[in-house]
Amino acid sequence: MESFTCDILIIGGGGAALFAAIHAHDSAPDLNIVVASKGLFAKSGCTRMVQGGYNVVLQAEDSFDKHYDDTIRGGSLINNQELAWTLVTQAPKRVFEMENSFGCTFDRNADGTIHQRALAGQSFNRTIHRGDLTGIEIISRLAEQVLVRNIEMLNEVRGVDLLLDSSGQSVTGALLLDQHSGKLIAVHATAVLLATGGAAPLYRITAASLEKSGDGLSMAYRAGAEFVDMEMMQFHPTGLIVDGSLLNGTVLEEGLRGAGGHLLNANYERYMGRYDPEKMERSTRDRVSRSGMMEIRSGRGTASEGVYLDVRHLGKEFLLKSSPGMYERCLTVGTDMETDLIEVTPTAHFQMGGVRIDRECQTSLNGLFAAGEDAGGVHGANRLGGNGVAESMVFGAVAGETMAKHVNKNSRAPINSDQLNRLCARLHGSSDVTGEPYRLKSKLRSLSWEHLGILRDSQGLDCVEQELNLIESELNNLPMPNHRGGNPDLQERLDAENLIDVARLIAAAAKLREESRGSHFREDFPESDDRYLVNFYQRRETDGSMTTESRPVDFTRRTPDVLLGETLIPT
Amino acid sequence: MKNHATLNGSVTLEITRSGSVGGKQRFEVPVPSKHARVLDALNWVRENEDPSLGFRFACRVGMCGTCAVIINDREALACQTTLGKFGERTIRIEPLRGLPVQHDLIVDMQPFFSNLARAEAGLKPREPHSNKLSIIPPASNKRTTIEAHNGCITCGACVSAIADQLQSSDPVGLAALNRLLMLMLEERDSIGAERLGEFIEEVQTLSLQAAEHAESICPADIPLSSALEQLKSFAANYGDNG
Repeated sequence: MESFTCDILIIGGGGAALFAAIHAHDSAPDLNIVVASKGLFAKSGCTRMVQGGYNVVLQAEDSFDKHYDDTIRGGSLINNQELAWTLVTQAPKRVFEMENSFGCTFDRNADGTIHQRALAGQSFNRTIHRGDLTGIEIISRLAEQVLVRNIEMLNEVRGVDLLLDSSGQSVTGALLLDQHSGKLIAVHATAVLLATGGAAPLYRITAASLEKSGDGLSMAYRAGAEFVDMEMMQFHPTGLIVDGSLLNGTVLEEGLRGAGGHLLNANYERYMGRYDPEKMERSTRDRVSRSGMMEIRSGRGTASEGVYLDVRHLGKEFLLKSSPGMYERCLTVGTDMETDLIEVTPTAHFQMGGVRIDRECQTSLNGLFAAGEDAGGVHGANRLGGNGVAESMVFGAVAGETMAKHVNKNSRAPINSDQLNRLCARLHGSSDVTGEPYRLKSKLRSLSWEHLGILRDSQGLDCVEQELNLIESELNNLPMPNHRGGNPDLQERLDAENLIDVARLIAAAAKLREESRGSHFREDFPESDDRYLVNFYQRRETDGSMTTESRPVDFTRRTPDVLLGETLIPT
Repeated sequence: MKNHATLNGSVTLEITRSGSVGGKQRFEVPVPSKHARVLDALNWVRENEDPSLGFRFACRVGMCGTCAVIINDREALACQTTLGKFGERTIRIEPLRGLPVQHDLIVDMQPFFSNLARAEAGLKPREPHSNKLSIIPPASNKRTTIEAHNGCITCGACVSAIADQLQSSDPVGLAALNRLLMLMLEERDSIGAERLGEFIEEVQTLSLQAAEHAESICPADIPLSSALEQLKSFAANYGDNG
């Protein structure tokens, strides 16, 4: 085992992680900051894959209040209102910084002013973007700012577990694993940020970068941090179907629906009229995904269990101008948007739930911070398109500044060597490559798709809990894989273990929410119910059991009567 | 768990392995659909034949550049190359050249990132604290040039493509040079043409043919030869003024 000491350890390599690194560094340039990324930094994670854009209030006719109300309505009223307010009010600062300090260039109108468009659920054209592949611009410019600051990067080094002091209430670092050399690395840090991204790859069909496995979430869970809204997982309605390919489930951006694309079932009927006759395809992601899934379940799906996205009537000129990246992507799978229907499926996309944080990104554990998809509460029951990357930028920056202050005021609590020894001993393995952990992970992903996904009911959720126990015991019965560099079994095993933790959190919260709200839909409780204007908080107790408690939403800025709008009672 | 049910045919992958396996290893891989990619075939090998096969990927949609390898002698993204593209039964896959091999098809990208850092290839802002957005008419000459050179996904293919060309010692590489060109034209940048300073020799030494070759394989279609041409003319003027 190797070990080192630093002021700030950032686990993750996407937008939130890099923004945090830059802001921590700029707040206090002398700080010793280390970023550990599971994949190559700025290349793994989902910031790079952002298509639609970034929601931000920049026009006099728009307002923070409008963006805020859209966000809370979109979240079916259970968002953490203070976090959502932070998102909305700090989004402009981060855009100015990205453009003026980092050199991002978002699309302009002919006169040189910024171009903004609207994604679903917005009352104003407030999404800035760069074509339909916005993420590359953002993450490329962030990455070079990290490089020119000489912030230390550990590439393809994953987090294994958080290290706690002897009280169990303070995080003092983390155990990392170098995936190439197989070496364990104990990092003693004053502040640790979890910015590893969510666990959408828990599902068989997902749009997310596949190396993600809820690492930050499960590390926080095992350390005893408190979670919120874990039942809320977003499915994007238009994942591309590519049978037999890893490309399956990758997202076709929302702008195609926004611009007037139609969704058809296998009988070529425009089915959204059955589910949201007023907004049709422009309805929010949760409703459009659910409608697609219901068509498929009712036998009106295609042979590949999909539906069709039809944008032919928008014309080639418009499509090439507004969605050149998507046009190109479809061509590579043999579909010409101008003349062909595009076969799509709902696809697991974004985790709204996560580690509970306050407005400063502080979690319930001292020394532990979370940002981006690892944090929960900002988006409530459903995230609006364009609010995801805004969250990563805004809260990444907040986390960086908070950690710099934290380091200034706190010293490193000693590492509990018993815990460290226990963690290392568990990972001492000898088994060569078998591929078994990968097989179990695949089984888990199918199970989650079936019962923990878009349509849920009590029977399915019970089934998930039993099956999770079986998969877990199968995994535990396997010998621990060796650390030989390049042995993927150890990575797959850690991924599977982490995803099982996340699946348990989702299942437990989903079971308690006996209503339907936002992305959480219970076939046995299809209506939303005002008694569930609550959030579910979960944590792991020291005996290993999970506690889940519900607390009423704290309506600090808006009460439900003010917002009684169309999304309060989804159909 | 072999599943040949969807087989429309098969291809032979000839993969260059590292370490104890070593050499070139051949695998018969089913082609599940005509749109299946080289990446899918590599994944099939890992799932069905050899779970220890090392290859890198993340986004699956040509945005991250991590799956860049050499396919039938040309650098390409494994996720963007269909198995039927070559019309050949055998597809040869090797790791990128010019970067140290870590494991099978995985190369160490650190030298590539270090070069971007060495080139200071990031904006040094003129007005970092400005709370308004610049007016940037997209049709202006400078902006259309900058935009033409934007979109690099830092995959390292250009390093590999010209790895065997005679170059100045310790080259910073075409990806970094292309970014420097963008920054030299960028009005929001406070350094401008001075950025070329220590890389003049590299710009002068590197042949346009080499840049043309790199451009021909660039997965992001960055006009690298035009970048080098413009930098060469900057370098000439730089000499005149200095």
